Amino acid sequence: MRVAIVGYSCLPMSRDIGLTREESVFLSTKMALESCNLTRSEIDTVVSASSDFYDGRTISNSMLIGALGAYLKDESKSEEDGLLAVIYAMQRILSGTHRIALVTAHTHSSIFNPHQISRYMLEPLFDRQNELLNDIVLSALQARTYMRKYDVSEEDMAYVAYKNLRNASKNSNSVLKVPDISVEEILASKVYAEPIRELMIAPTCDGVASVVLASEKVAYEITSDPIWIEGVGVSVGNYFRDRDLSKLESLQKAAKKAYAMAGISEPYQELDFAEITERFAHQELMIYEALGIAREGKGKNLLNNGTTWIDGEFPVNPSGGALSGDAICATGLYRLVEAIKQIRGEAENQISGVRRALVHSQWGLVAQKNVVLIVGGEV
Amino acid sequence: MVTRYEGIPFVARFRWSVGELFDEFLNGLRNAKLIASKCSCGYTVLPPRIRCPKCYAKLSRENLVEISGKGVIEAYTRVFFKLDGNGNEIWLDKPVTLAMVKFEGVNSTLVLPYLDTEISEGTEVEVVWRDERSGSVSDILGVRRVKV
Amino acid sequence: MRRVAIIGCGQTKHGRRTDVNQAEMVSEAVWNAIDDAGIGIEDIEAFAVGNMQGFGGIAHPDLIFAEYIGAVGKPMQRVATGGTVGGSVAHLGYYMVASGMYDVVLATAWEKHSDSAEPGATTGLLHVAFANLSYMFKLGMDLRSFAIMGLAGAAAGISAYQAAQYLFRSGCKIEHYDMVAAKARRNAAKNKYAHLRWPNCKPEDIAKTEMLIWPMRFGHVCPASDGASAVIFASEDAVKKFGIKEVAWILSVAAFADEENDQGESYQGTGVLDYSEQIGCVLSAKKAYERAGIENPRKEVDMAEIYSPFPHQELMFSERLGFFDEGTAWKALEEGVTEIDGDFPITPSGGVNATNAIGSSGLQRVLECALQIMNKAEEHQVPKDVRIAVAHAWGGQTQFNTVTVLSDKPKRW
Repeated sequence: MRVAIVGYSCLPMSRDIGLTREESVFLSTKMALESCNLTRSEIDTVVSASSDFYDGRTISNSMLIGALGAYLKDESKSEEDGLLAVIYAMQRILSGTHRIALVTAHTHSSIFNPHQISRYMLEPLFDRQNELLNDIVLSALQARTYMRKYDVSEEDMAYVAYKNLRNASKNSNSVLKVPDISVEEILASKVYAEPIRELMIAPTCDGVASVVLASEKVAYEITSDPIWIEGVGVSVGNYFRDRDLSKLESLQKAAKKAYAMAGISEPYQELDFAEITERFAHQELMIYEALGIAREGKGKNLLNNGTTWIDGEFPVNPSGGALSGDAICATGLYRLVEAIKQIRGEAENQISGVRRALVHSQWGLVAQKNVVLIVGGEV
Repeated sequence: MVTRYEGIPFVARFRWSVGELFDEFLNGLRNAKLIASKCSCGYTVLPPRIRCPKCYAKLSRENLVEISGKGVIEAYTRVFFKLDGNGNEIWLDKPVTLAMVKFEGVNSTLVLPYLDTEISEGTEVEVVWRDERSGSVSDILGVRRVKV
Repeated sequence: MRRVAIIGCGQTKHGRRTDVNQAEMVSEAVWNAIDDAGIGIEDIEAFAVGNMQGFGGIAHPDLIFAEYIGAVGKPMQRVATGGTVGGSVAHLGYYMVASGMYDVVLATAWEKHSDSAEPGATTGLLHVAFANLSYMFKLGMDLRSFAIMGLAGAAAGISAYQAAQYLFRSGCKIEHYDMVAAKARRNAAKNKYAHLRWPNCKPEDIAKTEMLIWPMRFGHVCPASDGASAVIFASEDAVKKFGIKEVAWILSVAAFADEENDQGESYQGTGVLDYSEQIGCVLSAKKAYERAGIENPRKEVDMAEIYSPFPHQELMFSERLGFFDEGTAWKALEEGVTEIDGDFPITPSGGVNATNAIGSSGLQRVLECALQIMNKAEEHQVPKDVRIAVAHAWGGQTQFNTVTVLSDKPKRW
């Protein structure tokens, strides 16, 4: 039995969305139902994704049951990236118990600075006692480790940001619209922790996104353009102290699992593009390598020779990726929504003739946990 | 548009139990010693703990080892800001250098303040201890270059 | 539909565990479960985890624990749904195997209340605590009682309100609450992992304790415990492959959510007026029985583990879950029907009233039912044959309910 995405929606990301959490979640969920002409009564199960710490309130979904469409429905809540909620909803459908699932992921960074929350992810007895440590500083150490090993420069990092910010400026959902941005401006932006500069950090923001999933049996009754989830891979790595920060081993494992499930042996040939989550610009290069589309240490080549540009052979992040806006729990779903739009031919920064994509998201300090979905339209 | 208002200030305090082996680590700090756990598989983890992060073997007091306190800088960064606990950025008057240190005989890395001036990857360092120690992680002030 | 069984269970001793840090505590339960199942860590394909982050003060602690519990390089999914998180973790583990994605999944849930320096369970209930406060003051609780309540766990304020509503609705008396609390502590005395163990606890002992806010006495309130539980789910093929003889099968799961019970203060506008109504529980039970092929729960189910941090909830949920007719649970209690050696034992483990490590409690209900079916509950094993057991958990602002039906056979018929 296969599972397809039959509907989707998202709100434009924003520094301050100007709506209450309940209003914004309601809007996105309602739009997702409308996108595939379903009513709430036809939904069997709802899985939401949000995190209490980021929301600043306990049992964050307790006030959102109505807005999520989950009133008197079989529901649950993933407390991490939305792609994992999609996987949980998919498992609920594959079990045979449910046929149609609604997934909504949301975080409002305007309520509390997510970088502060990253401090609460630190191991409390030793690491958290260092008041200078947070996810930005750790990513600086990761960048340095990667750059030293493979001779990657700050210009390479800035070039990733340049590519993605350019793509983001064509994305009406993105937070930063800077079509005339230059590499020099990125290299001159404020330094947080060397070599990480402001314009290399995915801007945290408010965002809500939803998808509707259906089992194979009913997918065609709902839409003529189902997007099939062909592969799934999830893996968690060691906490950063006991991990080689120059590579993303857990992403390698997750990608392998997803490729195996999708029957992919040559990702570079068999995939058309990728939407990945690069919380910091240098991570995109590491992600190319972990996905196996670039050889170890050669991620920068793929960028510098134009391969991963919008008009290249293997576009990565036509939406601008996380650098277009990081809505924390919703970030993975924004990547997924872009992939769906591209495959259906509805994207703004459209790549022509694409059918199959890799969608990636990460969770935890310096990408400790990684999630990969392979999605594809009808053959 | 939506009205935003500041919430009621609420501080939630914690006092984490540390467990037996981390307790030994803290005792070691009081005596200006670094204690790690060496597993039979060869992996040495710092600070010490009850399970090996690689092979998951159970570790106990018998696996505790004292390490030299000398190590090598694997990566470093100059940090220009910190967060104030309420999510606000505080920009430091002077940047602080943090080093990711691989201690001799240990597989884990620790991130510690670097207290010298010149630094590069591969620099050999040693722990700088606070003069008056109380058996807490603040007994370690940071690392400095090993005097040749 | 793939059949899923529980092949191993592990718990920590619950109570005040300042001897271990959070990671060590969780790993204790996890490795106990792996030993209990008689398999190796390499056999575990994926992990399902959950707790209420606020209590322990660590965000997404499973990322720090992954290397303590053998999860590195493996998939791990996290859920969090308030007090019912343990039940949700069980459902997640079940679905992960039932979907066919994994054959063997370890599910673990935990809580370490003692890591918080704030009274009782307030840290993790930052939001619900406010609702608690407003109820407590509305109902006339004074600050001193509030301070005493601070020693307690869970959403005490909202539950006191619910306890009063149930009293009026069902016609039971506060003495019945004393009886349930005493039974919980007596049963807990037979459970080596429980927190509040009181071998000969009598209703009079409970009745003597201070009235905090009518009808909730100090003796009714659950403790705030530290503890972790772990359960290993496996597919039918995996059970055969491992050659495990004693397993407990999951017949069905259901978890219907209601809007928050905030009486008119709700954001949704409709507002639930009677918190003892628990439509979510009624629906979850109905759906779970339908999926399991159970038509007459009172006759076909042998026992239940009900999530009742406060005694009225045992009576209330036993009715909502279909074991007794509306307003008659207290009669069954008086007749001894729900005692450990009764006709329909409820919560023979002592339950949440005697041990409440919030994350762990929901999963423990599933774990305890599995133990009873597998005949591994040792001193608190019920004398009758257990073929079908129901595990229940509630959470949030008394709005989430998870129901799990377990059996000694993979299929009902």
